[in-house]
Amino acid sequence: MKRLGLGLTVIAAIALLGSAPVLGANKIKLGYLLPLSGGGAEYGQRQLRGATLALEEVNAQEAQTGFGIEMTTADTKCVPLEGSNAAERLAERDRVSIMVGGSCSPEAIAALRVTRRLEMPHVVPTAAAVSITEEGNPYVFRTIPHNHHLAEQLADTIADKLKLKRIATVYLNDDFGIDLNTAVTKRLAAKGVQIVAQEGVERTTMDFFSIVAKLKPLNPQAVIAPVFNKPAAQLARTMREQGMAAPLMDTVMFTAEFHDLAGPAAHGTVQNLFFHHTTRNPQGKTFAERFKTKYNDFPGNFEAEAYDAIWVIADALKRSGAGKSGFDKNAFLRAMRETKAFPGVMGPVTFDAKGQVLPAEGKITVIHNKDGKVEVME
Amino acid sequence: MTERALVQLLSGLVTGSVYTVTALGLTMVYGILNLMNFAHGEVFMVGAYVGYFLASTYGASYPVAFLGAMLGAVLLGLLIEAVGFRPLRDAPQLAPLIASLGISIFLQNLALLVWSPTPRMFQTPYVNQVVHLGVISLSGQRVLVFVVSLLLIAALYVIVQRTALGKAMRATALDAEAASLMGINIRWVVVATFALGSALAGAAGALVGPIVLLSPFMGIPVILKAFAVVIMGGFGNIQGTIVAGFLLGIVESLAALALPSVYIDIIAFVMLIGTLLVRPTGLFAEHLEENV
Amino acid sequence: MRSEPRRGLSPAAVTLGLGSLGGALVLPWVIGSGYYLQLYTLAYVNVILALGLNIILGFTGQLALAHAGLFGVGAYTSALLVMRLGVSFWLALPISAAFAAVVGGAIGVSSLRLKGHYLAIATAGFGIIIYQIFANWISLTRGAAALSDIPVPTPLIVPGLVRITFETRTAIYYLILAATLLAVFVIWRLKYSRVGDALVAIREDEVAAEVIGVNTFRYKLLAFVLSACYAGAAGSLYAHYTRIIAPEMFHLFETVGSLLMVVSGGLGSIGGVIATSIFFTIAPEVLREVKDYRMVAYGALLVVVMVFLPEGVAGGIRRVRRWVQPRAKLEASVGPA
Repeated sequence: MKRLGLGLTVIAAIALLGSAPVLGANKIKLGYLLPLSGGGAEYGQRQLRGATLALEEVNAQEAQTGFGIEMTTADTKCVPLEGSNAAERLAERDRVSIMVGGSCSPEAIAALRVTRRLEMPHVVPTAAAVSITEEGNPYVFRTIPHNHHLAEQLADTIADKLKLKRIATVYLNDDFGIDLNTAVTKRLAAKGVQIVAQEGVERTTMDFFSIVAKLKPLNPQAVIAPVFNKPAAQLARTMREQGMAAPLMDTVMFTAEFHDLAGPAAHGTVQNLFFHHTTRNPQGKTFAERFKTKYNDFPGNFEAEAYDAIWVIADALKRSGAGKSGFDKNAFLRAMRETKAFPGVMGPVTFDAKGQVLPAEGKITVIHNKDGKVEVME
Repeated sequence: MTERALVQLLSGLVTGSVYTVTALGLTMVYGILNLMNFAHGEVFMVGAYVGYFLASTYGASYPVAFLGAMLGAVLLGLLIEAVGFRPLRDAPQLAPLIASLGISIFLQNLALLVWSPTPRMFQTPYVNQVVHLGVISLSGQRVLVFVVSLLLIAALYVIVQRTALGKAMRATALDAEAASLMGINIRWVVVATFALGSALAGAAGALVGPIVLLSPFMGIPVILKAFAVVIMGGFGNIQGTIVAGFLLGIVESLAALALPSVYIDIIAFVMLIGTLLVRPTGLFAEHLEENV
Repeated sequence: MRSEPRRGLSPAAVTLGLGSLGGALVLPWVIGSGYYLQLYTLAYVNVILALGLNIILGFTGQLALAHAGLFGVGAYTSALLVMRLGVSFWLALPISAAFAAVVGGAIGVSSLRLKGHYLAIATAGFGIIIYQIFANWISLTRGAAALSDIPVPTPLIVPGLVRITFETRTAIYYLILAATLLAVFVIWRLKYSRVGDALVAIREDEVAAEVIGVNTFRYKLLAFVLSACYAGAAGSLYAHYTRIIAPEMFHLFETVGSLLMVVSGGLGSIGGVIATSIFFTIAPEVLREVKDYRMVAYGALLVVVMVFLPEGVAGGIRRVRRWVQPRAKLEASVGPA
């Protein structure tokens, strides 16, 4: 009787130990650069939610994989100087091993200078300027298609699907905006579309009265305006105020906030997205459901971008043996480069030699705001 | 091309009216106290936010929100006077100047913390209404701004020229000591001036708020332009301020036809510095004021 | 004309000063070369900047608000000289300080005949124009995209004797510490010189100073140029230390930080301003959680200091000492009334 009791106790003890959290699961420190205040705060808050969900899921598997990810965020305000300072702080003070982020291209580029100097792996989930992966930085990976792919998609939609002939552009005067504008206008011109005006604006521009007054007599059929939500809403409203009916076109900048703020002025808007919650992609559907359960809201572009970035990193960490021996930079870099068709919520992830994700089928969706209702145009 | 110029001219009148209303509040305080209130821009900003919250969170109608904004602005103005100016009545001129700068910074960043940096959209029924003036169209809100501003300016004029309070204010501005010897309660005049000036700023905020987006730092460009107008019009000179305000608005808007938007803001400062160098007492001053 | 006691340094002040110096010299050994050493280096830059503002505001009593702009002039000039024209840092530093002084002189000549708030607004206007130039002359400054990868100072070589490189944080720390000590020395000599006395006279009563023969305009201009020189030098050091600069660092509202440091340290005080400059650089970082409240606190502190402690920390200490010291000794040190 006693020995049975002892045996049962031993078995119970072993069972308990086995199910307890693995003491000393390797903790990998990750730094996420986000705009949490300022004009781009919307983008940062959305990414944060997507990333947090991903982290929860990754860390829930800690016992099996042998490692967990610890994320520290830093507010960059979408400003290059802050991005650089924040990257330094995360690297020097918080001692992270992997850097993620830089939402806005100028900010990401500034942060990349820091991580390149420190030889730190850096994943960029939302910045689309082409130069990010074209400067020979061996530590950078970008998990979304870049400006040229976006430009191609938008130009195709405008010229081939919507058959428009006269276009005006309003673009941000920075690395992202100028890059995108050049790409879009070139492709449109090649398709025989006339560009009647190109207006560069600053990120802080909120008063579009004079610009609209200039555009109105030129009579564009649509205005391509990949700027932040609030300026875009202001632009749309000012256009309607002065009697311009042309719709806005965007790449990936507008979120639900734009549609809310602009109200009826947003009708007719066409934009590119990497993710929409009605997607048929099975990973995407699961993600949308889990997100809705946790946050009681539908995930959009930015949530998905952050989510995929964390998961791609986790997958590479697994393959690099982080569970057994902790973080090994070179093994991690190698594993990242070897990522092949990783099932992301935005589509399969495979990197080219420069760290740029290959734009696969279905990676860019086009949506249309038809009188307040969203219509997906494939 | 003329259509564009006409649109810009009208827009200039609207902006000019806002500059004038804000600058009038500033110049009145200067006339009495010989002091510039850096925090005037934040009174404008708070006025806009108070109006916004009354309209959006409490569902007030726009006229109610507008009056509420003015009231809120008055309260804030009186608070600023009590905290930043009254205790420093006898201190060297530098002190209240620095103090009002401090209040300005404090209010901006407090608003940032409390109301978050997310720009707010102040909706009124007039924003989406389009008013057609021949070939030009403007939003109803812009027209409203112009009309109400004119009414406010007229009301101020009446108060200053026709009422007992106005007389007391003018007397104090001319010679405070003599005025007090004649039995005028300077304390009350100061308070009333601050109240009136703040009411104007708050009104401007509630008028302009729906056209732009509200943000905690929206008062900064306004105060700087208001300074420019006050200096060009002549410190304490009401008529001069009115002319200068509209002038600046129109010059800026017409310049937008030729210059990229980033250079428009510099115009005000160039005009300001030019005035300071050439005619520091203002472009329209009749008599030379002492510059000490 | 009765002025403050010559070399008014009590034994306590000397001890404190030497102690701080000693502490500063061994700091890298104590706290290593990481994030916090960088903070102290930044604090020294702020000391130089604040001391510069002290010359025009503290000594001379003129509220000139173009300081952040002049800081930027120094920073951009130095960075661009080194990066675009291949000039050595050791030449770029004095050239930038001199250029900032020239710009300051131009501003001063235009504005210093104005008094009080007129001067404040005029200099603020100039400061804004300078900022707009930084932000919009993109081909020169890269505007908001920031000017980055600014090189560190080139190695300092004395043939046969020594070769100092500035690749490490520690090396730059000592470089900036040395520059700060030089700046302190210069302003110390200024304070107790006849020029310094003239400046203080202007602050106390400009009309009276004019009456007794002080050419107030010339002295004000000198003070302004000197303060611009300090700002420019600080800018150059800053640029090559942080290696990235952008227009928003030189906006009018950044002047408020220096303003607070000078005002709370004590207009015209040296030790007080040094202390507050270091404090206001380090404290917001250490109290990381309250970082959001930093600017709110700055604004409130400016008002509080103006109302309750207009002589700043230095004045407060003086008052405490007077209160502690028995009356007899006080009369003896000040002399018969």
